[in-house]
Amino acid sequence: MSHDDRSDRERTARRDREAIDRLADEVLPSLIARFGASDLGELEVKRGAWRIRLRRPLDAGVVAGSVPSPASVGKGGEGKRSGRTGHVSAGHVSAGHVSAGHTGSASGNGQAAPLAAVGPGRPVEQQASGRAEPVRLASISPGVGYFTVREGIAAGMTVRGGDLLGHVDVLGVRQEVVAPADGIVARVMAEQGEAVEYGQELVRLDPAPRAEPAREG
Amino acid sequence: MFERILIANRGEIALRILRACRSLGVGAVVAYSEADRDTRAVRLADEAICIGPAEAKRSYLSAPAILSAAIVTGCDAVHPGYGFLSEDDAFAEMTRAHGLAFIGPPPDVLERFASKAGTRQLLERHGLPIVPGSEGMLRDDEHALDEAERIGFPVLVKPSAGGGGRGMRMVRTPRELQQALPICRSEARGAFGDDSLYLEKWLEENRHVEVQVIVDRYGNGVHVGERDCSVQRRHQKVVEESPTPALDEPARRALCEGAIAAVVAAGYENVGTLEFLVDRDGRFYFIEINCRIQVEHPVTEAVSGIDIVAEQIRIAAGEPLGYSQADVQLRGHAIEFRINAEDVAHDFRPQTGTVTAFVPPGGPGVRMDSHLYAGYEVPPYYDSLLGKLIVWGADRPAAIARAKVALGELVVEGLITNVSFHRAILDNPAFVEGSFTTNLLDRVGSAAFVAGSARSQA
Repeated sequence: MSHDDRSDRERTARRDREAIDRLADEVLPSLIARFGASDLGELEVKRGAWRIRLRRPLDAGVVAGSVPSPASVGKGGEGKRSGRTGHVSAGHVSAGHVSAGHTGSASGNGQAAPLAAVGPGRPVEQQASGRAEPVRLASISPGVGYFTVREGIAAGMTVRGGDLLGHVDVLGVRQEVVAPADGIVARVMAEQGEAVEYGQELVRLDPAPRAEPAREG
Repeated sequence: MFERILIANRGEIALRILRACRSLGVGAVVAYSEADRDTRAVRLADEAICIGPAEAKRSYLSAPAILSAAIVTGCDAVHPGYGFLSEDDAFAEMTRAHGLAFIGPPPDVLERFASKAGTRQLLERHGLPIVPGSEGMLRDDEHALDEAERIGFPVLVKPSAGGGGRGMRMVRTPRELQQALPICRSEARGAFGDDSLYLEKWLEENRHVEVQVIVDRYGNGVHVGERDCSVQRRHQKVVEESPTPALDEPARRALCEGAIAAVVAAGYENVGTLEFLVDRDGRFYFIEINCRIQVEHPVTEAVSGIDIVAEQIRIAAGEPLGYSQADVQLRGHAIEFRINAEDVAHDFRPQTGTVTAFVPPGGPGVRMDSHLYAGYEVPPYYDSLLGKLIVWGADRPAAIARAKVALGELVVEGLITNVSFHRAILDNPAFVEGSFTTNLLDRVGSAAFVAGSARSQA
């Protein structure tokens, strides 16, 4: 049935492209307008299984993403940038944005909620962590396997974005757990040797006292 | 028997496997992608574990992610469902190498049946007829003409390499064949760098009939009758039923007995399906084998009372079949409708969105296998199957009558589905008289059915 499988894949790819185009046309313009008029650093809107995030380049100082996002992301994003908004990206959940994923642990700064009405359709789901704290950073698991925290990583330690914080052993292959941005380790969320799932929050960080220039993930 | 099975699939089949595990008293862990966090199987499972992002390549198609998940959750077996890695012999081998059982045929069996051409030759040696074709590659035009005359027009000119219809032509006369040969050669050379061609008999108005087999590790095998899957749209099955209306009782018995004898002799193991084309005159030709559970397996469950997924698990655990062909009693008639999120009026475009209401039908002989619930969001990453409605009746008219009632009751709101398309099929004379052929929907165009479904909706 390889023929069916191939056409399934093609259909999925086509469906994704159509979905991104539709989002770019229907949601982005109003979202950009709202974002431009607000003083938010970043906002994310969920439409179906897709998330669209707008992020200002410097003032947020938050880059949540240890995995580079592939080319499909940003279709209709960069080109449609307008006004005084910064980086615009249409994030595919599957695209490997660490932030566009798990329970919202690393997902933006929790300020999406006030814009729940943006976009035609259903309201934005409030993320579990999208409450009081303005910024919450976390390293999340890049895979399913056994977690090992790097020696010396403990609460109170200052780390820089990209620093290795540990690894997850996936069938004998180490997958790195890195800091999404500069910050101070608040808490290591998983035990040494604990079985962890993909997207699980592993190391929680408080933001560094002084904002550094954002690194694009 | 296994203690704990990792279910490495999604949607309705993950739920189906979970149910089989439960009824066997086996623990189950559902492996899911980020896009499937809120699925019914994940919610119902004893344990669920996220294995990767929505992108199947990094989740349901990632052997390391699946096997690592099985190991960290203490599973001793992996059920791959259908699609994804279900027929991947390398994955089956890797599963075994990590001390886990693969629920399906063993890796060496998967490998033996991996090549379609090789499988056709193998099963032909064990007595199954295959679609007549030229002996080897065509040497020249004269050889081609001789072979075409021997096989009988119309014939299909096919390139030895590649696929996807390139270099392929159907010809009805020697003259057409002579014209087609240079074109096919040049297309095949251009597309695959290999211009060798062969001929296959063109079967017009064919039907797709498949035989369900169950074979244990010790060479005991039974067939569980056949399914007719002739209602297809662009090679995608839409409706399946058993028994086939295309063949009479002796012909069906000959087909099924031939199939089980051939696969047992060829060393097949576990559940599987042999697909055949049946021509206008009731002659059947083996085309391929599916070494996995199939979407349409409930049709066979309905007429046989056998839990095929449970059998699959039992056999993978090394248990003997425990019954013989005489114990397999097929009763009545069953029909399955694939309920898809697709817009029939717009070229069957797949739909996504939130299910606002879901009410499955009920009553005697009605089964609905679906992972839907109100509030469930249909993600855009995977196939559009929302569920399967299976009806059983004492005979075909009774099954059709129940199907109409059930399709009338079924409520799926929030996104466009093909439910009304199914109602139109039930009203179609070709379906009612049991003469549907695989190319019917594509030949007459689905427009007639769209119009039909518009009428039945009104």
